[in-house]
Amino acid sequence: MEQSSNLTYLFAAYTAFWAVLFGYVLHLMSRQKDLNQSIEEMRKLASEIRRGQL
Amino acid sequence: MSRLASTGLAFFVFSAMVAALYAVFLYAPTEGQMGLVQRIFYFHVSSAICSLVAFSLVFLASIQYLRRREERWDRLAVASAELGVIFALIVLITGPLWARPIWGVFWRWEPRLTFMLITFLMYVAYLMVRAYAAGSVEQTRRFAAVLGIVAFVNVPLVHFSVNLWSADQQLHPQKVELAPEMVVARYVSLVAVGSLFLFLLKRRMELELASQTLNRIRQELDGERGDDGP
Repeated sequence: MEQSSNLTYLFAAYTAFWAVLFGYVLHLMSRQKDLNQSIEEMRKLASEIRRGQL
Repeated sequence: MSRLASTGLAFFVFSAMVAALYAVFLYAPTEGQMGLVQRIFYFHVSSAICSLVAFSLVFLASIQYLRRREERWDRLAVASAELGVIFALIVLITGPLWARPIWGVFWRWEPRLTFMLITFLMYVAYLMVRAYAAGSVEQTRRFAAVLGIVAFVNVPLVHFSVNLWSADQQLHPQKVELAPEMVVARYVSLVAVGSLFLFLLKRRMELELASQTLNRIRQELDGERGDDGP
């Protein structure tokens, strides 16, 4: 009984470890996506400036 | 770092993590008194070491930034602070899960736990300052660097608190004795979690560099547009 309850805490701790890291990696990926989008917008803006549209 | 080196590091992290999980769950024996739950120790302690190393890097990078005003030190500081908070969060979650079946409580205001929580909150404040401070980018970086230096005061307190207070005032043991297989599992886990920390630190710094470069280009384009405008 005690071993099985200990197993729950062990499982919870390792799940938390991976969940926090997985969440952080997802956060980094989302920031990377936003950054790529901004780079694309900058490219468009730069080409418009070069063509003298702005 | 080249793409090949980056892929090599990712492969090393993966291999080290597999080795660590094998060492923790299959190689290391079950501890006599605490039982299965003691296996939390390996990743808990490794995460704690990574968080304290990260906060030390914030301290060193902040000093260097104030001395030289080079953006690379600021990038190292912000990336380290973010990862330090992530690993400290892991410590603050896995610690109580280990404590509950052993000490009978999830939390007690004993020295090491309290200093760890204070340290975590101070670096969360550091990241909030960086995210929300009004003023120029340069001012924010300077202010954050000062905070990064001041917050470091807690780091040695977390590490040495078990020896600064007497044994009856705390729950953390002053001396830990481990079986040889447990020592092996401990070091393999430290290498695995440490390499994961380095991998994430490198990726976070690259992201910060891209973000800083983009902001600079945006400012230049805005300036160009302003000059050409009516």
